[in-house]
Amino acid sequence: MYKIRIEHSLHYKRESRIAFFSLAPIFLYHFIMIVLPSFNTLYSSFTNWNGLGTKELIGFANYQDLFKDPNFYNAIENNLKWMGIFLTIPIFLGLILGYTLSRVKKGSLFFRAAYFLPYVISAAIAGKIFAAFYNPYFGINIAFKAFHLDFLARDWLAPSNSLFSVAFVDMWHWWGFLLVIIMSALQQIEPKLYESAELDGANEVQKMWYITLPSIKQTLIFIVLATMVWSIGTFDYVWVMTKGGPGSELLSTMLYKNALFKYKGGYACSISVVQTFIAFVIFAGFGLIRKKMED
Amino acid sequence: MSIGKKRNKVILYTILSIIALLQLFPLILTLFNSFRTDGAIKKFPVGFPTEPNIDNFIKAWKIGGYTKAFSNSFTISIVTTVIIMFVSIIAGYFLVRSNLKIKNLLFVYFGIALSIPIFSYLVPLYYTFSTLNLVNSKVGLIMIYVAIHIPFNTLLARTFILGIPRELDEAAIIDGCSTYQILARIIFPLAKPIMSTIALIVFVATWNEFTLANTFLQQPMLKTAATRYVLFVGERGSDLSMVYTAGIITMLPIIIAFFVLQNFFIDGMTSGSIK
Repeated sequence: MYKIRIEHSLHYKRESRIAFFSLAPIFLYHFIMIVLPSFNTLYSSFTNWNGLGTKELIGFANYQDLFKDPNFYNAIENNLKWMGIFLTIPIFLGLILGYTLSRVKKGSLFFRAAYFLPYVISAAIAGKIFAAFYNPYFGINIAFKAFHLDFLARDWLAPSNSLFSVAFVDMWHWWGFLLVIIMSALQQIEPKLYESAELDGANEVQKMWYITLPSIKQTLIFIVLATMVWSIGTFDYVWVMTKGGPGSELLSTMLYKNALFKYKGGYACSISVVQTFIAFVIFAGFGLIRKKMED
Repeated sequence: MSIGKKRNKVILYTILSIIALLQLFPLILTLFNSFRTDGAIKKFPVGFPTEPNIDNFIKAWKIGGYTKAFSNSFTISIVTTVIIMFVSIIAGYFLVRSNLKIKNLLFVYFGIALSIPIFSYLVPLYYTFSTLNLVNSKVGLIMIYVAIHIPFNTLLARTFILGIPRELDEAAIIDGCSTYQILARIIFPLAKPIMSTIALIVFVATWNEFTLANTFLQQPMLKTAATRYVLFVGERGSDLSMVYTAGIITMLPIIIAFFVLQNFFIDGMTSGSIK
């Protein structure tokens, strides 16, 4: 027994060394590839870096330019609209249909798969195919006109419509994912809760409000937080479909253009810092709310 | 009462089916149009193929350079997936079992790292990579993908390994196994379910990824299938039959995999989102 214990402790000493030399490279690799460049972004945002040349510190000049740039406010507004769209429509759809499907006995797996399917398709493909549907001359407009639904036909990717048209595609891809997450959360609810509520004569709305929503609160908070943070950085669908053209400029598309096409690296970095700052504020806000709720 | 219930059921299933049809309609339409001619599509965008043939597919495959594009996608996704499968299990194992004090710190680090968005590091990383000749290099893109996928999958592996009884390790230690022998003989075989989930998550994410692939691989011959398709539509977009056909070709591998492995896909791709 004693011998075993010695071997044990020797083993743990050796093991600690092995653990350290296994974890350290993995951590360092991630740190060098992701975190260090993020700090570099912060530093570069205070320089006149063009991407290629040297960096000279210029204080807050990039931020001053940014806060004077009408395009920046335009982008912020679009990001907030995007957030508003994604905080409502897909969550509502996922909630209502997730609730319905979780109470359907036959075929719920089939419907779940059908609703989820677009989630496995790349933004690059979905974006370009929907852009073809949105083509004002050869797309769905022709079908609308043929069915005398002319009022529906419009130039979908024109500035006044493009943000919602693009968001529509992303929602098509996204809400099935929310549905699955919500369904998994709903599975954890004790069926007895519903049974006793039914005995007390509760209707569907009351059951939803008093049992379902409180039971999946954690999941819903996670979805709302993730949606808000992710809405600040969203990029791929908009870039694929409009390149952030007029009407759908976002912080990310503005950043991307400045960084890669206009050679204003420092300026692009200042946009990234603003994005990170907004995300941080959202996280902090959620932390405060959670703390208040626990008190 | 029971008639009313039956009627409600019919209404319910009708609504669910209509939504399913609406959800799948864009894909069905794309499939139909991939068998139609450009002229027919432009005349009316919705329709059955009248003379279905695979001419569109042969043409799109050739012009789109799909042999090359798919081989690029496969190389990048497979290499990234295999690396992450091993790295995340190893990291997850030591995050659970080691006595290191820094392991809790690392746990928090990976938790925070989960939420670092691409744009917070993209610009400096791009220009650093371009001086190191890692732009327009598959190795460069794989290096970034590996880094991005470490935190989430390590935490996923950690949660799984927490469920493996410690007694198994201890028995192996008494039998004289070294740490890496324990990993090889006990942890990896037991972790197969989570390794397949990790493989699925990483493979699908890298296969579909747009932003980084489009930024770091700019030469057409290096592009992945998804980013090559965007280029293809940019060049050949006026021929709508090519847009739809190439779209079907590009999405087909993942759609087939989805149909074959439906529940594994749905559960795997949403795992870790809920606890």
